[in-house]
Amino acid sequence: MRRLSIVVLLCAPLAAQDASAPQTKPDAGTAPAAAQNLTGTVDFGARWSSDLRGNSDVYRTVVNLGEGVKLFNADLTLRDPSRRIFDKITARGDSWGGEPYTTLRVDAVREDTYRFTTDYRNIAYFNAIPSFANPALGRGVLDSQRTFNLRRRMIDTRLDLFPNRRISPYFGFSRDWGAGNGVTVFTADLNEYAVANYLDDKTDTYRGGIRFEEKYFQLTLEQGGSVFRDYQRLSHNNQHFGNLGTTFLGQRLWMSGLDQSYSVTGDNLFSKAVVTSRPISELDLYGQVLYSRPRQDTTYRQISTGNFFSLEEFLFFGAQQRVLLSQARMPHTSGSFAAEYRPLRRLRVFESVMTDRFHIPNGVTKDENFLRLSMTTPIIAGGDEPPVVAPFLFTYNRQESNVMLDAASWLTLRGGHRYVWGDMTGRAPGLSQTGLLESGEMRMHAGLAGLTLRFAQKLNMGADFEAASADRNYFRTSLQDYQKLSARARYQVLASLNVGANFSLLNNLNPSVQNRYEFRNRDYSLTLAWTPQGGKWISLAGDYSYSTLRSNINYLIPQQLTLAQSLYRETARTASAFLDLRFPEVMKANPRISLGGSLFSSTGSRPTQYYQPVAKAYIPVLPRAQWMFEWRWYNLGERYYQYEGFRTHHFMTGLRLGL
Amino acid sequence: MLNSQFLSAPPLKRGPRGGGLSLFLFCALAGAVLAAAQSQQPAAPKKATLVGSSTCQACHEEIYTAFQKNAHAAVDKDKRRGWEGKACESCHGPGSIHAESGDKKDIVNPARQAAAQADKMCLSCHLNQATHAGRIQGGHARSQVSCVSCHPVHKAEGSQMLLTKTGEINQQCASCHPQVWAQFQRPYKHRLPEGAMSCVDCHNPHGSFLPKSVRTVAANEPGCLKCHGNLGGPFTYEHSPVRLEGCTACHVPHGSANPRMLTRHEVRFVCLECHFNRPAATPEAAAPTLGGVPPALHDLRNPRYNNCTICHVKIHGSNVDRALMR
Repeated sequence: MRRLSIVVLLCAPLAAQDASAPQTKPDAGTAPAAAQNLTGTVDFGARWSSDLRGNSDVYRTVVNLGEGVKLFNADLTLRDPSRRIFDKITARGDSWGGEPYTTLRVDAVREDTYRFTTDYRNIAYFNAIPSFANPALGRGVLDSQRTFNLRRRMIDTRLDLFPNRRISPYFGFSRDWGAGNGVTVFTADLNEYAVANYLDDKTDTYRGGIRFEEKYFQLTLEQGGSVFRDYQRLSHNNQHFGNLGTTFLGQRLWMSGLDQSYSVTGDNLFSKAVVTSRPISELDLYGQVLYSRPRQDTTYRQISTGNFFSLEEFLFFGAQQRVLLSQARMPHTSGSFAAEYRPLRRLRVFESVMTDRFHIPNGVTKDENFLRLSMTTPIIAGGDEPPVVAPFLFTYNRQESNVMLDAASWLTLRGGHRYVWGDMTGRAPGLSQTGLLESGEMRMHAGLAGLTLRFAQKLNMGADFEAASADRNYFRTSLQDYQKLSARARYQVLASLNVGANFSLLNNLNPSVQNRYEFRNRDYSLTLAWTPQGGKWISLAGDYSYSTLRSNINYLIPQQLTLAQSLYRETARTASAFLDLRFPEVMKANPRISLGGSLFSSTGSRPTQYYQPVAKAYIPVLPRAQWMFEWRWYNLGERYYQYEGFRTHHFMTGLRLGL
Repeated sequence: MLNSQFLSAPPLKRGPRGGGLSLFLFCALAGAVLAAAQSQQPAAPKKATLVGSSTCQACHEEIYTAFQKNAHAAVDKDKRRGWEGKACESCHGPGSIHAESGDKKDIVNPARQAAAQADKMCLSCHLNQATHAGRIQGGHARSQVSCVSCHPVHKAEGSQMLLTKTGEINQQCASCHPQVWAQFQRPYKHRLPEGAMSCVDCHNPHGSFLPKSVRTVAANEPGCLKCHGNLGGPFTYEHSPVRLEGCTACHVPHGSANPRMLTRHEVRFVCLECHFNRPAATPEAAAPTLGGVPPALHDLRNPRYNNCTICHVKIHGSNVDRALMR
């Protein structure tokens, strides 16, 4: 089946090309020869930071912009009027030169022949928050035990061929890989040891498909596959006393050496069919069917030495050697169908159904676990563990109906109903007190309503409301009895002045006796855009948001199994604005100054202030060159975690060259 | 005579409670539909005919010139589409009356039409695109956001009549979703303000099978796994919320004041709010929700137990350890 799919995919473009050869004959010979032309801009220069105060790890986690010479942006378009190989190639790159968010996108197109796109990103993931995963914080230690410093690179490439109007084959390739270092925790029953780890993972995905386009329907068939690997290694070779600050049964627990490797390999084959159709002018149909079969195989090896205690064997031991093999399979079947039916010009009926099913027959196939007094002494405990099966079965279904009525040219009303249901069975978490398996169900009915108002294109208003009641749910914090409301309005006060307002509300309540879960979130926002004379000399855009979040829920204190309350509060204000000033033309360009930035301030469970003001200037210095200057200030302050605050100035200067 | 017949007739049986209200609502809806259907009957106007794009150019030179660099210009040049030299009228309808009167009322303007009408016109050519397969489930279709709200049809730039620079995409989405954009101004967020990502990296604005129009990747996996592929599993020991409720069970992907974009300021609360179930005497008496309470060795007074992910490092799922510790 797999071979057949590949053969079909490879042959289809050739067959389609033959069929369409007379229609797609290149017109290069008849087109007048013309020079290729290159247009665009290139921004380059240097950035430096000054006066970095506070926590540099948090600065790197939140901002992470570096110093030095940079290519800030390049936006180039190459056109070929002769259309020999391409009509146009667009290349856009951002933040090159050791920056944390580097991107490159290339689009090449020749109309009626092909489209090629590739997207590359290189993102730095640095995360070291002192208050996160840090049991020694009370002793003044600011090193988190869960940190990472990764580079994640992604490339996504796609080629669409247009041999004729009816058949379009396409091919795609994407790679997502990340590597770097970090700190994580090795847990040995009664003590935890923060150790260095190395991470390296990669996923390659290949896909190819054919789009058939007929008068009344479109069908896309896609066959794809991915190859995955994830390699992690923890190592340590010094005496390490871990987080347990006291002795246990009169002995100090410590670790002198650790070599743990975690190797996961896997693959996935998936087949997909997507169809859209308009069999009659009153009816649109959409459907999708997918089958995928991801699988992973894991090899885990661990050698650790020191002085440990095994709760299972109830003995002290000096060395542990463990080899474990496991596998995970996840056949996944998914289907979706939707229809829009227009029985009358002003009446539309929407219907959609979706089903999703995972079945993961997982298990550990081999587990050798040997405990010794030292690596050179005989085994004192452990052995081969029996194979373990850890199944996971999950179904999710959703059915939704909506009716829309254009009651007047300025008013549309909507009403509907959604029913979501599903169930799951899986192995309970380790040390579970509720048995080896756990299962859950969910059933939820939601009523839907909405309206849209349009008055002479100047005033637009809309509101959506959803109210639901669930009789069963997976989690205590899931949506249970809830109401959602969102409303928005846009008003064009003047030709140059637009204002808008948004409001949203989510109320969720789980009224069962022990839960008492109450969640309420409200968001208000105002926007303004002022562009006199189309923004020729001055423009102003700004928005202000105010949100409140309130959550109350009971939880159990594990030691006494007594009830306590988890309270989370947040009142947040966010404002962002940009004032753009343009001046009379100099050197065939307008000098420009932008002032603005954003401010965030919150109170409640984690009061935080985060300010990012910015000022930019673009001054023409040559007919095709502008001098750029930018100042930014980053300031993070936290009332309860003051050691996580930082502030710094960033300056950037450079040239913008026009081609 | 008639009156006496009615008076002597037995009283009608009343339906179930609420039936009258349903009947009234049904009649009201039917009346509204019929009234709407009648009100839309046009008053036999003079029939307009096609005049060709060159006639439009005479008055709308700027739009015409920009349009020539636009992907829709192919409609004007291509015989096979059936609108050669008449691309303007393929969307705006026959323009002879408008050309004579110059009155904007005499020409169809999709930007002024109700979303459903504008969309129907666009979809008459663009329905057959795989990206639209989740349109019905998408919020934009439900909320009457038409194609022309985001796609500047006349604009010269861009072969696909859509924005491709991340900053411009984000700005466009933020113009209608300012409260979402406000969340990205928080310290812990995805890197949208920096231009490393755009809204459409995670959402498909045309709609998706997943809630919130979340984009699907590869084998219909949530768009989050495009970048976080190492967290997608399958795992030998799954952590059920990841599979059942997705990333948003614990994270606020748009931005948060809490590290790692968590929903709570301390990790233990994220976990303990679900891990609540006590041992049940019988399976029938088991708690209706998932998540057993942690064993008593978890002494919350000790800082070692205040952040569950210190030990449970493989919180998204493990291939080795049932307790997600390695």
